Amino acid sequence: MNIRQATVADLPGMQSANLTNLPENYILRYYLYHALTWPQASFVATDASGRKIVGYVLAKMEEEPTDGVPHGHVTSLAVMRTYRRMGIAAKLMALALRGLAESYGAKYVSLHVRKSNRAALHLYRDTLTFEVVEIEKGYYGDGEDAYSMKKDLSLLEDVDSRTEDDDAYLIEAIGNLKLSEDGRVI
Amino acid sequence: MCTSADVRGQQKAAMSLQKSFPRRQYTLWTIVSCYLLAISDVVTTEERALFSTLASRLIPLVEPARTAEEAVLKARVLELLPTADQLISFLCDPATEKWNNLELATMRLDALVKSGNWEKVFDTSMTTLATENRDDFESWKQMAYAATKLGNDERTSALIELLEKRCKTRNGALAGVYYASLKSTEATFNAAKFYFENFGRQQCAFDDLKSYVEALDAQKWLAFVDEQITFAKSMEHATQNEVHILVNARKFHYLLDPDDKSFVDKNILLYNKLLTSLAFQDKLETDYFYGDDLIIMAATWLLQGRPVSSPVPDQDLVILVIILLETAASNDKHQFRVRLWLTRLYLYIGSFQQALGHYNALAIKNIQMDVLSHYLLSRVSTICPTWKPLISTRDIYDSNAVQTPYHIKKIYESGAFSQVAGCMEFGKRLSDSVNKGILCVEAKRVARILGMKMEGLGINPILRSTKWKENRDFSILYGSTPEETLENKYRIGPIQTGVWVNALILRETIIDEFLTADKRREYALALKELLEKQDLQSLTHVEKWSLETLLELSSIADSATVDGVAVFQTTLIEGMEKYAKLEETSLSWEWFHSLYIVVETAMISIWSLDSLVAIWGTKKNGKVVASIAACKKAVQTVVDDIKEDAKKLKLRRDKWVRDCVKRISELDILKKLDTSSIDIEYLIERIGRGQDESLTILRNTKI
Repeated sequence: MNIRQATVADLPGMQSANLTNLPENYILRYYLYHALTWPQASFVATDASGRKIVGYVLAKMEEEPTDGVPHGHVTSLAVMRTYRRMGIAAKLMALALRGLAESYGAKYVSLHVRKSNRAALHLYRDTLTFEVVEIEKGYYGDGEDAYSMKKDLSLLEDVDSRTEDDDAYLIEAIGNLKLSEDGRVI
Repeated sequence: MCTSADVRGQQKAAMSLQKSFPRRQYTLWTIVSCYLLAISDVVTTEERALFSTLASRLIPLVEPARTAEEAVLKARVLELLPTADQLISFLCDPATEKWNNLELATMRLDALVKSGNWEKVFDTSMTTLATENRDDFESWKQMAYAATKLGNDERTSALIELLEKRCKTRNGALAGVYYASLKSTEATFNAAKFYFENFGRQQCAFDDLKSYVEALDAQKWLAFVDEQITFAKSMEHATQNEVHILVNARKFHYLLDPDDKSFVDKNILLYNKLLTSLAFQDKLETDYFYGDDLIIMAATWLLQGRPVSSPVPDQDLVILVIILLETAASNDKHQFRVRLWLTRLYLYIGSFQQALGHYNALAIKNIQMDVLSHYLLSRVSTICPTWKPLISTRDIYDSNAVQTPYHIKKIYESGAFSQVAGCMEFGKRLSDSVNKGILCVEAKRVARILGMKMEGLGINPILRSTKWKENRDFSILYGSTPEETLENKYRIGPIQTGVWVNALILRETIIDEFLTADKRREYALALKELLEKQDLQSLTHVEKWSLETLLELSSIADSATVDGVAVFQTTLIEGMEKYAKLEETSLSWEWFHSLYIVVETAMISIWSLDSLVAIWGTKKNGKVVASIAACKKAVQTVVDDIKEDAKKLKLRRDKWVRDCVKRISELDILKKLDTSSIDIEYLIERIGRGQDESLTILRNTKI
């Protein structure tokens, strides 16, 4: 598959991924708002033909951070079922986090995940090393609780000290993602 | 200017600002607006060249780029120039590569491929994959193609080395298959084999390999995939990976062995066994079971009319398939494709309420309505007139009219230039959506049939257009086994295109302006021209008849004579009786569609004739008025007969259900399926009830 920056033209396809995978269905305006305000933080994954959107990540900067620290928030992440378990979500997240840090100066990033979503929890907590900050009761529209999670992005700021192998560095820097010799995310 | 999407206005405004206040921001706005004009359809060829040149001349004023968005804007402007040299030079410049921007990287590769510079394509792709470690399939594909084109030993060796190194990644393995497909069938087989051995457990394996294996020896490939099906314990205890391999193997059978009579039976038996598997029992509540694809394959196999072990009578085929799919849906609530199929099939047999139930379960919202609502709302006014889903779908277009200008303004303010063209295009696609036109027309017709006041529905008039945009998705049903023939066979009539919309808009306008002679004639002439000159494939026969009837009515309004009215009466009644034939055993959308159009046409005819008589007053010949009264009476009689037949059909419903249940239960295919999760009799009864509801609405229409 291919990963590229999300565009407005992707929105119908992104809605398909969202509606079949997640119970939260954001209104159109919200999608556009992300893509147009923080274009460097939202990405899509397409199938081999490049035509079908098989996954996406929408991320943004908090516009009025309560703690005064510029930080990002991952609004939505989804990968179509047919394309799961191939590391697409991790790669989408890696790019989003990099975009937030490099393009918008985010010091850390936060997100929410359903308590029952084991797969997502594993991705964020174990693979990407987000830490659980608190449980927000009844966060979701259907009343389910959410883990509020956070990850420090200060390591990504130091662009100058990066090696030539930028993406490999980034992926390793972001968390427990390791690359094997043959380039697989372990 | 943003509010009205006036791109010319935007360009003029930006130029004025830039000249009066030479700020960097205004120069960027000027470049953006020149670019938008250059790619729009409102400019001539000469203007296109002018604006693209102007944009490119302004670029140096804002260099160096301060953000990646500005760099993308420059690349987009350079794309417009007649030759690609400047674009390629810019995209390959280390200063540009430093942005590390995926958009620029994609444009770089595309530009190099278009230029045919295969050495550069190869080297750039190698950098992306090996040096930057970015696992991009497009880069793999172009690198493999470039290596083949160049035929250079060194590059070929480098490619093969990288393929071997990355063969355990999905993209790498698939790239290996692609590269092999450029070589030989045998190489393709071995590469595809390797891919399936390593990734056959992924749901995407079939999609990935489909196009390659079609060129292989079918039996050899099928024998191989069948060997991959193994169970650590037993099929009844299959894990998710084991189920995935099994289903993928069956998909290859579907693709490559279309004459296997036992295909449906095998799939059903496999599905029954997998209902106790770990894969099914342990799945998340919000997940769906991949084994459902066995049922979807069985369903589409039957619908395609492929060979089966025991034949299914035509009249029972769709209901049998519905039962199969309902079984899957009842076992697996989150099954998107099964529900979409059920929506389509219920509508196909005229059971709208059942279609609506599954459509609502899909929770299709927002922009997806523009793309998918046709699965429910195609010709809905003539199957089961209902206004709520129409109005809620139509609302997204009104919402877009407000939101898009806001977003375009935001782009200018925030500098998200890479999104501006897409945003403008997106807004236009929605405002000119053919689905929007269809829904507005359908809403008017529903209001007429249900006797509702149009003002209460808040429907704005819609104009004809030559620029209707097609956004609907007609292939989403098919997932891994696309079949265009199925789409044609089980669609609710021919696809309603811009011609359909324009014809029906003219029809509605003629009806609205019936008593204003000049306007009626003008629109009648336009409709006549459309019927004569345009491709009418998107209209059903009865729709064409209805339009022609309206034209005849319009002629009567112009010059009513006794003979003229008599001829009109004869042709109208003939048409009504021809299209409103009751065929009890083959109730389908087509029958409801014809009935409703006949009744609606009768409604319009009677209303029009009454209105004419009312405005003529005493001016018209008494004999003409009498002939009109006779015509009305004859039409009313036919409509009453139709309603009476519909009533008789409804009264025979219980017998229909009993007969249908008996026939269906005796089908061998159904005996093989574990239908314990559904009640077949209740399901068939609900189908009948759905059809009866449509008949009830028809009987309650007031002419």
